[in-house]
Amino acid sequence: MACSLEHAKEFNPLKSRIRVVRKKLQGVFVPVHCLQCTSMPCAKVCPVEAIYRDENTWAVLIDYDKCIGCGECARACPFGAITYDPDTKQVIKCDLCGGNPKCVEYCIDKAIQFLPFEDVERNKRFVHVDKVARAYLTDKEWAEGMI
Amino acid sequence: MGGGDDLRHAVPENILRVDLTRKKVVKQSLPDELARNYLGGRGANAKILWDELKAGVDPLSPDNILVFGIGPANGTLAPASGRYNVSAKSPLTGFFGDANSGGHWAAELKYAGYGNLVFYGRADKPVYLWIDDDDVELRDATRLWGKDTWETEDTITEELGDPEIKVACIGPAGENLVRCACVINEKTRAAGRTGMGAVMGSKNLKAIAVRGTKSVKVADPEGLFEFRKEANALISTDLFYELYAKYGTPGLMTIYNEFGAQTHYNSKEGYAKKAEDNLYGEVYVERVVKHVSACFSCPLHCSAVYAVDSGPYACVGESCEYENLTAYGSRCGNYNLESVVYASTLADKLGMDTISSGATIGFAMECWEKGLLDEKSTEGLILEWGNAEAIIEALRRMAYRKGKFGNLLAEGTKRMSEKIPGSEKFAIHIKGLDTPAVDPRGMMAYGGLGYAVASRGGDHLRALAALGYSLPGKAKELFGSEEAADRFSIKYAAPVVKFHEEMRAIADSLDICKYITRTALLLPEIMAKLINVLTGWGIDRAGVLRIGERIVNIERAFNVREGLTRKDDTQPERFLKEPLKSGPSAGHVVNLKPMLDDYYRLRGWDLETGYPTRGKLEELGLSDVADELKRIGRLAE
Amino acid sequence: MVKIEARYLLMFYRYTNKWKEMIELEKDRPTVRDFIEELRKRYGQKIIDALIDPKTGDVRYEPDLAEGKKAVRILVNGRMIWWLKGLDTELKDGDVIQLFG
Repeated sequence: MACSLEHAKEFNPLKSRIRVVRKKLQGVFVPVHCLQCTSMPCAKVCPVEAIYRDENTWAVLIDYDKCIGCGECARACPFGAITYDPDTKQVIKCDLCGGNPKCVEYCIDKAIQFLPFEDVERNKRFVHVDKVARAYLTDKEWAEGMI
Repeated sequence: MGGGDDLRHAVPENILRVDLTRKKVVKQSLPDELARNYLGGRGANAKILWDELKAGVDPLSPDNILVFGIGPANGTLAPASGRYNVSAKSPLTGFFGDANSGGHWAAELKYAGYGNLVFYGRADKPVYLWIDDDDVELRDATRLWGKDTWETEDTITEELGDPEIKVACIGPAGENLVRCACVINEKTRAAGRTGMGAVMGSKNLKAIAVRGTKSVKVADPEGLFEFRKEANALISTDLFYELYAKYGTPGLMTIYNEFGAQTHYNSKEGYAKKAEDNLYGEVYVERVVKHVSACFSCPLHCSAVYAVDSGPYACVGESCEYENLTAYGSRCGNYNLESVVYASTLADKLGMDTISSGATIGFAMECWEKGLLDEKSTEGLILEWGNAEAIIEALRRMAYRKGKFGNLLAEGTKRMSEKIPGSEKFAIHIKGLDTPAVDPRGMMAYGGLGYAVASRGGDHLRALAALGYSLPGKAKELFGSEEAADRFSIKYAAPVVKFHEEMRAIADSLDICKYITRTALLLPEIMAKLINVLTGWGIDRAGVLRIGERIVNIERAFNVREGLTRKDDTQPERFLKEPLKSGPSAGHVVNLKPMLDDYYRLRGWDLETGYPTRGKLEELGLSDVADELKRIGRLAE
Repeated sequence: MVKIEARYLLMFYRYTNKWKEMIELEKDRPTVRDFIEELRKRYGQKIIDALIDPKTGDVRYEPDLAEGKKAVRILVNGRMIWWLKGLDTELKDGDVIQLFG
């Protein structure tokens, strides 16, 4: 909701650049969005070279003056993160909102976070250590140190 | 997309009127006054039913009208904006029937551009409605008839070729006109109470499938962004946040049992130590929850996907609520968690209201205990307290009206007690609707008064008087004394219930979830802010309360027209006369009369009859309603 | 010596890693304040910060939006201590204290 409102000024999940895939009864809920890949397969197949990297935000962006709406980029994306806007007749994808992603701002549980790559790995190590340490600490040590 | 949708922000575009007898579908622009005066959702449903339904019809006949409604908030960034209401005359109570459900169906309907779906008559063969933006079609449902709600949804989405289509449907219970049958959407979300599934079944309407691709615009997008930020902060610091976000409503089992106001053994007891290690929220999360889940746009995510991996109660499902743990659990003396969870999934598949079906079984168990039922009359069901197999078999027989006893169960607690002499005393219902999990003897405003006056019968959600104990400081500001936050207070019950009923009506008409308004979001000034950023109407605090009051009064008028009087605003004898025996709320009964008198005075209704007065109705712009009631001799002057 | 049962409901479970236990309080007529002191000895300051608002010295009954801290409740035998004597509520042998939030 935050995404479509920010970019298209209206609410429509089809215009959101982040789409959640829900497989409810399996307990699987995964947001899918552009991962700003290093090799940019979308840019490679674009016939009019409308896709480029923003050096400031590192986001992979679409130049809407050039985009012809052919959809080749959507077909090249391994994640299905590029979709087609039927009103503008061009493609849409996550542009990191210029460096301050709206979706991150509104996710109350911090399920989506905007972090440097190194932090993601480090966070995982900490979570793992938490689990191991739990077994060794007393209740008080646990309450004092780990929350 | 027409030219009008830019001018009217957030309010849904159209009403769909479906004549099932003639198989005709008509689309009309949703009238501006309907939105302005009633917001949408439950309010709009009530207005439509008041205007169009004749008094005195048989709720299971083609003359009943079934209405689905959503409002301005659905489909937007408004928190928890995934709810819809289904209303009709109830086959269980004979009064205003209304049910509310979550999930994502409501948002899909909003994206398709409809605010209300109104169903008339009866189709000659089973049909389902397929709404694909502007293309609406009644399709044959003969091969769906007989399928449970899960198979129905899978079959429809496969037939129509899109797994993202949202389906609301009935199961065998609705088809068999079981009086407490409900509407299920997305397999596990239920518009549970008052038997709306039976009305749908009586119309041969199996399902409503929706796909919407249009956009929703709001008057003030920046304002809505800001509102959502504030709402997120208020919600995450609320007293109940941890309860809902981590444990879901099963956390309430912990709370109310600790209060001593929990229904055990058909309300014979209010507290049971056994519940601790078996049914508390903490135990539920540990043993059966696989993953937390949420409805549309909700920061509270109070739901959860659960599974029992092996054994006789192996199952998977979502949304096993506090009421389920009570209905199939504590109410029936059953403290086996896995069996309760299994029964919840079964009820979802069969399409039956958990509260009412569990209550009817609990009632039957007390009949068994007192020797009013035996193995012969129950056709083999051993209805001893805690017999989980019997509960599960009873549910199946109820859904299919199997055998004489199954048929009796399907008629509901009230009608069943009329056929079993001596049982009326412990038939725990109000106006025919079974009372929910919280025992009113431990909660005067919430239950003692709240259940008695709720427009749909024995119900906790019309009022859900929670602000008092959430924010005791606010209680003084709103009601004049901190005592209003005391769950045993008789003196302040009436103003507390009146205020909450109006704010709940607002939530049900915007169609947002009432659980996020257990916090400061309940306040009229904050709701006014939300309404304004959505619609641009510039409504104020008083305006919000007036809409809420109008909705409560029109539901009251509907009920009065169907024959309601003061004597229907009552409590079961057990709650009025038998004090709770043990636990923290022991010794209390519901002292209804003073609370009810206060309540009628505040509402501007006649103390003797319970009818609304002309003065009050005209104040709310309902003079035509007053005229109609006068015509039938049921107006207080 | 007074023996009471403490229950750590909802979010308090996180601080104690158990959801109930029997606690012996030394004084003859202990109050809720004494219980809180015992909590501090067993589980440290963090659980106290979750319960008590340092600005008022009393239970944090209302959410503190600025600090992002939740509202909480203390109950004795199912009754909020707000209706009893607050933190000075006396505890008897066999009482149940419930912390929730």
